[in-house]
Amino acid sequence: MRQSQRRRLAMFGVVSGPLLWMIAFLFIPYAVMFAYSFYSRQFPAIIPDFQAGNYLTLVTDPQYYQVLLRTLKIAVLVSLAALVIAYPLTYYLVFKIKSVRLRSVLYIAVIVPLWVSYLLRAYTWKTILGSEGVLNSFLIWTGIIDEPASIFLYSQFAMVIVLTYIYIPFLVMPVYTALEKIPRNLIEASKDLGVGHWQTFLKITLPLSVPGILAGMTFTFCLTMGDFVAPFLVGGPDGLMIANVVQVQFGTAFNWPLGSALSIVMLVIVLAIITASDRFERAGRLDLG
Amino acid sequence: MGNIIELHGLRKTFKGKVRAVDDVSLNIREGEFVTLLGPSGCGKTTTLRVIGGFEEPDSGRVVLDGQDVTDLPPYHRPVNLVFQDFALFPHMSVAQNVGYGLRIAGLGKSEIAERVSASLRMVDLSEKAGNRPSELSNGQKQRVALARALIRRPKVLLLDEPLSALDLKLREAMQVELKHLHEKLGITFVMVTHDQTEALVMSDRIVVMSNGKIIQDGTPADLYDRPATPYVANFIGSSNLLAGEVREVQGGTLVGQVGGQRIRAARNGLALEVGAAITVCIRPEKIQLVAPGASAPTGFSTVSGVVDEHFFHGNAVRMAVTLSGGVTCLVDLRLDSALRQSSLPEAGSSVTLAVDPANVIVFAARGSA
Repeated sequence: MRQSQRRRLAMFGVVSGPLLWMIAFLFIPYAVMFAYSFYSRQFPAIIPDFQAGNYLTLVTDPQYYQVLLRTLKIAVLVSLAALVIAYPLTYYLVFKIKSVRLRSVLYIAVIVPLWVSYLLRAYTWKTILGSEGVLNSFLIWTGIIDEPASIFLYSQFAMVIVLTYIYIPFLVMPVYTALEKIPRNLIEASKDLGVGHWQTFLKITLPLSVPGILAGMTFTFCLTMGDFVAPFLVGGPDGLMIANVVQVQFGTAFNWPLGSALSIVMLVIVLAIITASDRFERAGRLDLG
Repeated sequence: MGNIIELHGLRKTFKGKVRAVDDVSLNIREGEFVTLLGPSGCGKTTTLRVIGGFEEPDSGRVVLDGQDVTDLPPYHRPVNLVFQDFALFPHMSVAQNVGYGLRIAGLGKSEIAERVSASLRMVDLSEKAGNRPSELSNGQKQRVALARALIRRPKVLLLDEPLSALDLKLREAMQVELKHLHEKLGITFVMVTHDQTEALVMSDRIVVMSNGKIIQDGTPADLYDRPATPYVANFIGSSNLLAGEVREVQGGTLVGQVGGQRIRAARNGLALEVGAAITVCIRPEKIQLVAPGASAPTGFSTVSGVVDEHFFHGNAVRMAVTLSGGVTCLVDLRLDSALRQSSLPEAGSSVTLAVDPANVIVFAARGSA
């Protein structure tokens, strides 16, 4: 055997494991799901078919496209809210905390909640937002309200709060990396050229941290898109999200074709977001050497 | 001309470290090219950063053009800094980098465009205006950094190791170019470097620093010919530093005993008594080789020794000679039309060296009375 052939064979050996894994557990299931999305359901059976009826239902039946729009709205709100909280926090960590040790302790303090069960963290908010919860007790104690308000819990507001809280670390991590990578002498150079703090932030620091912001917002957006626990725990009657509907279609409704169509639509949206953000990031990627 | 920069008793200590700048006072005249020279950690960069406003001194004042700026941030000082690794904004084109300060200052578009293109012409980079910094060579980045720092017409240009990122050929070319630029613009340049050649070639005045203090302050020729301490003699150029003691004092000259041989030296106004410990400094190129049979020029001291090694430098040869007292002494001989390498004494042969007492510098040895 020639050496190049041998090398190619070795290469194939190395790659084949992960490749087989991906084919068996990702591509085939997706293909099956894609096929299912064209099947039709004639209760109680699912009949192999090739028709676009399921997709048509999604765009014509308000209960489906409204859930989809609501999910998108909540994903956008959560990403923005998480950014608004995470960015100043991270900026403070990177630029204002001079002690390296204190900085890493605080950074880990932000990340550490990820080690606690998601369910537990979401559940905690019930005790904060509930009618007997911390927030209501506080407001009654201060005299702002007379009796417990029920608007906090079981609403889209509650979902945005819980999801924002849960996903903040996913924004802090990439933004932290992006801010830390900015050479300090660029900020000094800006000030040297007669530019004050605020303008330096707008013209130098912020543009150079855009890749981190994009990566973080993509995380939070996609994770929110697929969330079905927050609506279940703290969402109200109008709090259903797309993942809950998918769950119902595959479960009690026993309408796999429609569930598959919904999943495919979600997948396309998420892939589009990831591709777009990757494009932007690539375009803005700079040599900070 | 008046002083453009006055530093009064600057001190700066970094947390948990030794004193970076220790009571530095310095006046710089308008239009001077002054270099702060010293090894890393000597406080030269901190001093420069204090002038630029990037470090706040623990005590002392910085006066720029008659105005006390000690408490002003960098963006309110009439100085600009060329950063060591250029610090070009990676997300802006060359023209945007150069025009950045003017843009934020709110100047009109046409004025900015005009001044940017004039600046880029000055550094010969007009055709790169639209490029990103990552597409430039280090030499080109250096020029952009210069253009950017000069476009605001600062009263003082600060340069932090400006040539250290360039390779040797380019560095030599840039030395000349910077010097010409200084002459053309007529503004004050303050440069920091650890490279003594760079300092000697470019500066009107060199300030040698060590451990946060100024050791000597003078013209390049002053520092080379009349170093104030063995440290300066050793840092600038190469020197033979030989330990010895005073044997005789006769008016303006003294005779020192060095490694078993007697060397006459100018006294330099030092009040040294017979028996005092001294360090004698002789530049290698100031030593002459006395041809066998010939006699040394009148008044010169002569010493004898044995040739150890030759180092060929192309236009010169450096010879290591062990003097009869056991100490090694370097001798630089120019290979000009009168001297060829083949005619030099071989390793192992005895030689006689001669030196003019005016070229022998004497220091009182540290720790002696």
